[in-house]
Amino acid sequence: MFYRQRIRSDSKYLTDESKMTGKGEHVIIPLNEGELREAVRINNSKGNPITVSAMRTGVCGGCVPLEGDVISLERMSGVLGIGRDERGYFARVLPCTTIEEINTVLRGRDFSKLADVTEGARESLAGEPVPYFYPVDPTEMGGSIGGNIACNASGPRTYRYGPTRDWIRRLMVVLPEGQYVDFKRGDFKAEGRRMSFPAGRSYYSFDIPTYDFNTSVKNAAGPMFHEDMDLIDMFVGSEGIFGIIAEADVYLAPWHPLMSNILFFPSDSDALAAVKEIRSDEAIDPEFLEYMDGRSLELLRGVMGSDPAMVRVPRIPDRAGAALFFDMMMTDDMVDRYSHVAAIAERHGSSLEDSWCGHTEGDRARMRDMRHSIPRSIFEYVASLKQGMPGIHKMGTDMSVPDSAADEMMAYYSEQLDAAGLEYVVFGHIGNNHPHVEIILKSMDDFEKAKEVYGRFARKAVELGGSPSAEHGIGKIKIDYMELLYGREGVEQIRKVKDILDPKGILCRGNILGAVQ
Amino acid sequence: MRFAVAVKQVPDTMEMSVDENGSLVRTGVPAILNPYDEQALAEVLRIRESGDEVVVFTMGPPQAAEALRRCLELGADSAYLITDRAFAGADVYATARALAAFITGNIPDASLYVFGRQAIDGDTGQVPYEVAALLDVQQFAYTESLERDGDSFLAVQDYGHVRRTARVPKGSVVSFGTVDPNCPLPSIRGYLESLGRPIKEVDRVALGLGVYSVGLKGSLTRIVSTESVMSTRRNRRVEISNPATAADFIMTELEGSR
Repeated sequence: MFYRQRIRSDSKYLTDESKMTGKGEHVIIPLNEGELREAVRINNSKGNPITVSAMRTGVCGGCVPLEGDVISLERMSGVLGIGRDERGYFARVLPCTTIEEINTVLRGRDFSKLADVTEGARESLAGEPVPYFYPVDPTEMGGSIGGNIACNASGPRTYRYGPTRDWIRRLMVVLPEGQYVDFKRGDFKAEGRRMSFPAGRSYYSFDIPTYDFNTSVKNAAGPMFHEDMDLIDMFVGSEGIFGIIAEADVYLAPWHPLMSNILFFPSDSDALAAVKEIRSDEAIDPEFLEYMDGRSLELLRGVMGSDPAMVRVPRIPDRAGAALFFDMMMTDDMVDRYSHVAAIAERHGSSLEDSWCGHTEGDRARMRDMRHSIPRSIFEYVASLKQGMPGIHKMGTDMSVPDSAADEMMAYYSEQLDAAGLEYVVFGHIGNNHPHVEIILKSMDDFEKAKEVYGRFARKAVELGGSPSAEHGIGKIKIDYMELLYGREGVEQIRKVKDILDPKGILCRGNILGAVQ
Repeated sequence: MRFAVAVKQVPDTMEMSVDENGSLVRTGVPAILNPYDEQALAEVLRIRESGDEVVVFTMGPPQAAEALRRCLELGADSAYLITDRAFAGADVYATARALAAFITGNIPDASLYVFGRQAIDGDTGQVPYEVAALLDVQQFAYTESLERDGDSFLAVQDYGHVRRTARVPKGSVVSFGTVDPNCPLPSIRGYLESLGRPIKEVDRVALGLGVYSVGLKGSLTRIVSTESVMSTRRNRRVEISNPATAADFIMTELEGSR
């Protein structure tokens, strides 16, 4: 038996951070993998659609149901154990464990309550000279690991550590027909473009789509397919359309003391010019590189007094017209490395006086709070618009392009938005040529205009060899970009895989593939 | 001019929790520079002019040097760590006595002795005034801002119902009663400059104090017994969507609890 209750129309289970709202009948809250499978089996036998949800921090409506029931994994949370293999340490986690929880457990270094997945792993991890951590930082540390895996989340630290995909060792996936497959990377690989694997009493074998997933830029647009691919990679980033992640092993990385820095520049163009130089300077070697344009700083100055999350954020200097935020590993030659930073800063109207730095956890958190307040302020703003304009949702870009096209894309953003007369802020992962352009909507008219401009941005990003969804995924909001990227044929091929794994089409309807015909 | 700023390293009480016996759980709680002291230092750095010197000092265990490091990063010129095993267990009087002895021996000529109102861990709020008494100088409590005025200073003191501006003669003790949660972080320049500045250590012998004048033995406070008091709270959750009704509800509840 599992917990099942009717959903009220104002339920939290009907929305996520995109502020899109859906419709649903019941919420099912399984306590463990057994209950989850039972719930899936029953719904499958009735052909009743189910949408998987966890912390609901996604921004593309992936967990927002359009019909049927919601399976909320909120009670399947916690770090189960520690293990070690030839690549290194890993943590075994339940799907709704947040990234923050994983890191808190690891920081505490007391693993006595956890299981040894491989013999002696707990003790040996506790005895390591440095603490370990899960290195993918999706900015939203309150998001669930299952959600992160389902959309192959990335974030600022992807600059050094890559996206979620690179850190997944093993998955236990409950398939839409109620069986499960528990496998490690390397267990099941496609032969060319033929994927085969057993699950329970079933054996699946099917042709995978013929497109090649773009891995040359940061990319979270649709499931990954390529020749001889690993089955793990098919589930990572598939946004729940193929199966539900019930347990995962994630690799851990040794933690190093870090210095966080924010450099202030007189203008956006100065900061952007400095980006390229910082990125190409081997001595500086930043962990990540984040951008906050002048409008973002203005937005932050405006919410300083009212946003509780800004309570510890340092006052932004009046003369700051744009900012770059980057972490550096603390080494013995900081003086020399900072001399490189100084030279770049001075070439672009800034200096080491126009900066903040901090190496204590408290100081670093104050800088992160500032960066994170930008999207949150926008979420809050959009949520406040919903009352008068129910159909509205957040309009933020999530597009990455190759290094060579970065300038062209940035110029295109401002040119198009200025021409449409829309207000916007630009911030985010400039190190991966992946800034977020958030359009500040004022009316439904703006919303319509923004949707049109957004479509142009997506086409431009694809044309330049980039991705229209670098880290947020496709969800239900960005389904138009699937055809743009993979053509009608590519989408049909994904649908064929989906039909084999989920013949009744019950799982996460509307994600990636749009509504089922 | 020379400014002497007294600081303390404290556990970050925002991160602190209480165990089932009502005792503070200190393990794993990060240590920070006392926020009142940070504000005091920020005010001093704001009014400093070229040629001025800002000296920071603290009494504490060896790891309190981290708090001094932070002060140097923020722009202080030199730092003293007053540390000795014999200082352990000092109450406010023994602390003030050690600080006064340090000031007399090392920075007797400072234009101002600046403190934060209290440390956020001990919360006694007595040390600045006891130091002033021991040094026999004037003290200015609850200061919220400080300006230079020729050879002396003007302090704005906030007493809650009264705000007054007082002239502060050279050599006085000033304690700041405010904290600024949005206070600035060190600049990279400040961090780099701080790397070359040593922290000088001063022990009991250097202060010229006997073992019975410091630490637990030099303390006047005698604790007879302690017990933890667990209070039960009445938690109730009400949902009122109309702000006016909600305000009425709160007022009625408050009236009722009187």
